[in-house]
Amino acid sequence: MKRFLSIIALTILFCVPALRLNAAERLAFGYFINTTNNDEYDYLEEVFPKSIAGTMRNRYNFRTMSPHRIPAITERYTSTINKSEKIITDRDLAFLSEAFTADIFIYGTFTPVEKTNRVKMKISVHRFGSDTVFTFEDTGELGIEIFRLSDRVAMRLKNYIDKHTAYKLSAISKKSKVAILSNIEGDELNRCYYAFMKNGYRISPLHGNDIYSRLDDDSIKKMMTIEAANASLEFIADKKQLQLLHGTWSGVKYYKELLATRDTYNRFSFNFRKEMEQVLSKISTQDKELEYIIIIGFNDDHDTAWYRCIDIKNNRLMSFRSDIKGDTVDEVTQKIITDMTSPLAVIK
Amino acid sequence: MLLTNYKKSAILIIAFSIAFASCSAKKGILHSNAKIPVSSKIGIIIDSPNNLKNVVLALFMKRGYQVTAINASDLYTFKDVYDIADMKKLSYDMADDTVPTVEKTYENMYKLHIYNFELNKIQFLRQIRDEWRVEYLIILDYKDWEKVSWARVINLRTFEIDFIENYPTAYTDNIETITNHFINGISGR
Repeated sequence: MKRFLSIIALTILFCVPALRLNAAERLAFGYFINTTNNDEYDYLEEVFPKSIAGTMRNRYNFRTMSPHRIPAITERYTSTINKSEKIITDRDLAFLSEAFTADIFIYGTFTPVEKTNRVKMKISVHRFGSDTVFTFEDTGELGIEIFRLSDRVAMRLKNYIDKHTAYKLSAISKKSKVAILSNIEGDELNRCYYAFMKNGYRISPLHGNDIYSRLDDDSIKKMMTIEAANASLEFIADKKQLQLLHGTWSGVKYYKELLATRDTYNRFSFNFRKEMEQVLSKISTQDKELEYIIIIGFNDDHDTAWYRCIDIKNNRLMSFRSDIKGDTVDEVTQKIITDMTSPLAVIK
Repeated sequence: MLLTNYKKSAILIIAFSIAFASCSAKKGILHSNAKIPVSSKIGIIIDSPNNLKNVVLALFMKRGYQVTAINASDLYTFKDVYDIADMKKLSYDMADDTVPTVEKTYENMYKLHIYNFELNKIQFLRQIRDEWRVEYLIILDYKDWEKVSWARVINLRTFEIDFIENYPTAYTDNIETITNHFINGISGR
């Protein structure tokens, strides 16, 4: 009996690490493409993803696949010498999701900053099976500092991929002027304002200048996606998904309407960042002291929320996070404020 | 016997927790950045029948405020900013598939109109300030007993919210007592 129990205990002991690994998500990495023609930096196309994959595996216990281990990725990379053809676009994601097995695909580009020792990376994260891509930028020094940049990128990836779905550029300044857009109204909105005012923030009357909110529990979800200068969390957009059929049979009137439809898609889908920058600039002109717009979406019970914080002067996404829980609106809001004002760190 | 005692304790704890949770949501809050001087010119927004509105306006005037009444329903028209022309252009059918690009387009359209609507409101508030010389906008909402009435004051010079209060309506309260309570908080008396 004792021997039998020992065997069981040993089996469990050996299985736990394996189970833990099985539970960890599988991250596949693509090459990070050099956007310049300066092939002096081409070695980084493999160094960056390998370094970040190593940190994700060793520090955060994810299962990772470096690009050279994924035949579909390697084939794409080696089949062309044209840089622009090596860059992975939204259009490629559907094909890649079937080409290899992984939960999350991470890819990107980098651009060495001229006349400096710095490099700007642009990293995209796509969960296979979803309709969205999260993209963010980070800048760091080359040389021995390159691993500090990779570590910071890995930290941001970990915070996003984990259940928190979080991102942070940096903490927001205390005692700044903020505007809050939310699906809560009335006394609950007052509670949200109260939490900010207690922490020394000045509140813009944007949205709060009415008895009722025009954003309800459903429509606030449309504000979850975001496109800013430094980061975006957006639907996959591909012009090939749109069937704007025309031909010699079209006729002038039909063709005019078709062009107007195409322009609408360009305006609201492919070039939306420009539209956002324009409207934020107009709002900023009306209220020059306003620094941040914070979008807070509460669930139906108003005990869980997500938020997005935008620096209105530069259209920068400062931070976001999902699944913030609390017993009351004030408690949830206080947690949001704590998250926005704390420095970038791994979320446990 | 022991089980009965435990059951009683459990019921008491659950009842207390429910009462505590509902109480905390209805507790009053007050925050004031600055007192609103009684000689100020104010605009008041309330969504009530005209006879009740008059009671509220009269109470503010009695305290010395110069009052401008603004209709909540006339203040902002969401439809004016929500341009459906763009929506019409996208009305062709993609069968049952909502491809991400189309979904993205509709969502961004809605998003932009929300921001334009807020921009429109801010511009209207500037107009109230510049043309009617209103210094503060006071938003009031009255609720029955066991619910929470609330007030919010916007300083139109600084474009900041200067005062907020949630007041759990008492059994003996009416529109006059609640309004006087808010005026006391707003004026600092």
